[in-house]
Amino acid sequence: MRCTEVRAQLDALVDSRLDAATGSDIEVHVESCPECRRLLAEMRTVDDDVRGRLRAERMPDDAWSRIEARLQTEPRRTLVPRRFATRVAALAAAACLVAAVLWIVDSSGATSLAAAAVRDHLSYEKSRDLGPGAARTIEEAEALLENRLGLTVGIPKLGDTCGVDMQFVGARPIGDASAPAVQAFFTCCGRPVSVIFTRDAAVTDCQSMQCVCGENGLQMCTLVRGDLRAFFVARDHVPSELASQF
Amino acid sequence: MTSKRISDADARQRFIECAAEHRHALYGFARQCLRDAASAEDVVQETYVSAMRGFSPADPPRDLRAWLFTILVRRVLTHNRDLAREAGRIELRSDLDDVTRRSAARFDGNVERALEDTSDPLKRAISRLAPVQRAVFWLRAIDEFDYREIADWLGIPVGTATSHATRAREQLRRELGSWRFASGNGIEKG
Repeated sequence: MRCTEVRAQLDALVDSRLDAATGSDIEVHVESCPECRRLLAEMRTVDDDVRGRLRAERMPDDAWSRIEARLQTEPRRTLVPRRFATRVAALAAAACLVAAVLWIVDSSGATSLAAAAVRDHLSYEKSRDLGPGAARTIEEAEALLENRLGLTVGIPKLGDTCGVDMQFVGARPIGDASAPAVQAFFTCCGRPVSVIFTRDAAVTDCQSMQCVCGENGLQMCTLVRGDLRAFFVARDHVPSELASQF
Repeated sequence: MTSKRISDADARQRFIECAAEHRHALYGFARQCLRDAASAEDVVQETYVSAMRGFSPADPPRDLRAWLFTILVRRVLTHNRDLAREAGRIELRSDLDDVTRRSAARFDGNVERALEDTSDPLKRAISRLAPVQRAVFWLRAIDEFDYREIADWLGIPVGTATSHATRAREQLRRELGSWRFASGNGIEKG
C-alpha cells in the first residue's frame, strides 16, 4: 500500500472501523514506514489522552443524592397501570411478553390481524398516506375510536408512557363492519409502531401482564382487557414466528 | 403464563442499584451537550425517573446502559434545539440558513464563554465542535456505542454519524496534536 492510501484510512483504523484484512495491511505498512508510524502514534496518543480526560468527568455527589431521593419517592407505574381506563399510554407499559402474545393470538385466531398490522405499517411508511377518514390529531383519533369502536380511551402523548417516548403520528379506520378496527401510528424511541384497536369479547382478561417497554422500544405485544384489544407492533421487532408470514 | 410479582420497594431498590453505576456516563454526555450543569442534572434525573417507571426486575433490559442512553439522547434532543436542528430533527427552510449559521456561531460563542475553565485547551477544543459532532464523538469515543445505535438515536444515517465522528476527531487532533497532556495539570506544550 502507498502512504497516501494508508493515511486516508488511519482514522478508520483508530476507530476500529476497518475489516481485519485491511487493518492488517495497514499495520504491515506502518511497521515499515516511519512517517506513517509517527502519524498513527500521534493520533492514538491524542485520542487516548482525550478519552482519558473526558471519561474522568463525574456527576457531583450532591446531584446524585438529589436524583436518588427523587427515585425513592417518585411513583412507579405498577404492572397493572392505575389509569387504565383513561390512558392508552398505560397500556403500553403493561404489555405481554411475546410468548404470551403468540399464545393469545393463536388461541383467538387473530394472527392475520397482527400480520395485517405489520403489512399496513410498511405500506404506510412507503406512502405516508393514511387514506380516507384518517385522524391527524390526538383529539381526532380519540373521536375515531369512540365513533368506530365505542371505546373511550386516551391516546398517549409524549411523556405519558413509562420509559418510552411515544409520539403520535396519525390514525385511520381499518377492518370492515363485521370486524371494525382502528390503527394508530406512533414513533416509539425512534421506531415506527402500529397500535391496532379492536373490540373482542371472546377474551375477557389477561393475567400475564409484564412490562417490557423501554429496552428497545415496544416489541410486538398485545393487551387484552375487558373487550378492548390492542396490538402493538414495532416494525423491526416482528417475531421470527410471524415474520415468515409476510 | 404467570408473572412474578415483586414488591414496589424491591423493584425500586433493584433499579437504583443497577442504574447508579451509569450516572457518570449519562451526566458526562448531558453535560457536553447541554453545557449547563443544572440542565444536565435535570435531564439525567428525568431520564432515571422515566426509566424507573418502565423497569421490570422480572424482565430487566439486556443492556441497561444502552436503554438509559436511548432515553437520555431523546431528552437531550428535546432540550438542545441546536443539536436537534443539526440532527435534522428540526427542519429549516434554506433561506434561513444564514440566520441559522449566525445563531449557531452565537451559540458556540456562548458555550465557550460559559465554560468553567476557559484556560483548558481540551475543553475549549471540545466546545468548538458543532453540537452534533460533539454528541456523536462523545457517544462513540467516550461511551463506545456502535455507530448504528448512535445514528438511530440521533435520527441520522450511519454514514453521516461516521463522518461527524471523523471530523470531530480530526479537529481535536488538529487543535491538540502538538500538545501533550500533563496529568492533573491541564496540558503542556509537547
